Amino acid sequence: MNDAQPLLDIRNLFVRFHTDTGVVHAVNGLNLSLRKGKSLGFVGETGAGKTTTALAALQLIQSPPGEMTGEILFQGRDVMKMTEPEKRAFRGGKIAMIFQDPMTSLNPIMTVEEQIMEMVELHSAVANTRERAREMLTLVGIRPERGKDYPHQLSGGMRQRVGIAIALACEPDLLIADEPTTALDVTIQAQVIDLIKKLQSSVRTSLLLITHDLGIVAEICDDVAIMYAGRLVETAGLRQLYKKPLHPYTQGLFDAVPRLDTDPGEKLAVIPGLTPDPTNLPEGCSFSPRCPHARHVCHERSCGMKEYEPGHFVDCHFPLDFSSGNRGDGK
Amino acid sequence: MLKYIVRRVFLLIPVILCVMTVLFTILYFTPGDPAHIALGQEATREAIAAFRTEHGLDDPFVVQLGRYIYRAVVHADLGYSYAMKSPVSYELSTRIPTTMKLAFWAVAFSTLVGIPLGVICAIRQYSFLDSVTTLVTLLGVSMPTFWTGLLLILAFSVHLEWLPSMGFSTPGEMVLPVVTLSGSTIAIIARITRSSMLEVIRTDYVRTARAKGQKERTVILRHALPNAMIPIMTIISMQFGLLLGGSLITEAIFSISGVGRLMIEAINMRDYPIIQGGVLFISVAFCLVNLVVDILYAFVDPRIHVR
Repeated sequence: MNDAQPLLDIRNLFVRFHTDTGVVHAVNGLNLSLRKGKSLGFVGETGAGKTTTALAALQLIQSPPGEMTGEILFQGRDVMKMTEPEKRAFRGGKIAMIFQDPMTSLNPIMTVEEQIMEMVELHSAVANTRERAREMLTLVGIRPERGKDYPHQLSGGMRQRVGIAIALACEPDLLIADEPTTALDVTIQAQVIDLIKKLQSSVRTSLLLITHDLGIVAEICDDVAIMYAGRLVETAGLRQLYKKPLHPYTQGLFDAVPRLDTDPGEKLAVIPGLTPDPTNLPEGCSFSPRCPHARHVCHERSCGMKEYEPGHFVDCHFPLDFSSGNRGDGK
Repeated sequence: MLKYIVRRVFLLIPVILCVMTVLFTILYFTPGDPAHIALGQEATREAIAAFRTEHGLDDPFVVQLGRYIYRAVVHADLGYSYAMKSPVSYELSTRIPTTMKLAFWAVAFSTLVGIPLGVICAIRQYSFLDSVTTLVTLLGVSMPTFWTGLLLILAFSVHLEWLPSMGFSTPGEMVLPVVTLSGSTIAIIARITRSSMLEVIRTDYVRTARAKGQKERTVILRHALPNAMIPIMTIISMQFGLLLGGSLITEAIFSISGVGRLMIEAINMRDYPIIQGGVLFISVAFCLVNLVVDILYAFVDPRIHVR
């Protein structure tokens, strides 16, 4: 495999769920690629389809009710076309995932070391799996004798470390971290992020970090992709995007981050409206009903991804602030 | 773990004492003089008075209660059945093994059929098999045992002449009663298993197991089912307790001399000591089954005993 080929390349992915209340369009024509050894921040509001995309990459969408179309190329192979045993070898072995809620993502009736050992048994030839599990615990900063404990005996932060230990036990090529810090205290968040960052470089795995926290993205990611209503609206290198957010939605996300230099009591800038109902997406650009700059054309058709500067893609007819410090429409 | 078990055992003592007190009190205040029943309607006043003195029936309530509990606990003496002319404990002890055997096989059979059925239905939710099972289990829960029992006798004993319709000593004789009793129990176990599994299958840790690349079979058997076991075990133990109390109807239909039939006979004859002994047995059996299940819970779920 050459380095030019992306590690993970998602092309025109659609995920729909057929439910009693209608078809939920969770992911709509998503294109996403992740370079080998890099980390990509995957940002969007709750319900934007970030987790669904990750589960699709792992082929963990239950079908029915789920339905997937498109291509998910991992190291050049389409995972959707893999046989069931190939998919099993690939989950955990090639792509591992850290889940959002450490309180519920560990099996309550197995000791934590057994849960790490299970992963090791499945994907590596290590003979002494218990030894390996304890090594992993040490690596994530848990005393190895705590391996005999059950999840309910550990704190939330420790459980998330166990989740990280499980995910990294077999040195996967890609680590997907699904909001790994959302359920944790702020003090623990920093530790977990540092740990992921440290391990990512020592295990040399690529990282797909799902989050809605732009601060965390700034800390560990190389590239950023902004997702809205099941598709990407903007993707760029970290510096490019933070310096010059082009899409009005990205701009809105930045404005919604509380700042220390605003006066106390001042209201936060919020993006008006709600994320669209995935059973009933608006016509045209899906952000148009909430977009303060939307014009007639926005309601009719979406723009499609365009490269506005090298490596900086945006899906907007009137990207903000480009080149002149003004909006394209001259406002 | 040991501490947990010991605590559970000690908790049983007050429960059983309470049951005995309540039982004795109810029967004490029930109309009908035991002396009349023992000696018959034609007995003379003197004979009755003598009988009452001899058996301490004129003593105060508390004294009689104390004597009853003392005899039961220390001498395993539950009184004397005047109607059957033998000690209650003897009558019960000849019937209990049969009832236990019937209850055990019915529960074992129901569990072996009900759990796999429920698991399959949960995995293949809304499939053809699931719909059929839901329908059949609905029938199983709704059909009274006397009706299924009679139907089974009609089919397998009368028409096909495959199996005997009476008794409970040979394996052949055991088939029909066990199947009759299992009907509703299978249905209940399968339904509980299905709903409990459906809940567990959607949990995050089952998804974690799948994300590890574990085989679906292992995901179900190692991660999902053990976590779904608590409600299933509760239902099984309750069913077992109920069946131990004597499956009155099934025992009557198949002429099995178990606790159930003994109780029916005793009720017909107003044989209070036997009724008292029988109810006590049922209560104690229920308590013991619950104890065993509580201990099993702890084995299944470490959250119960590991702090």
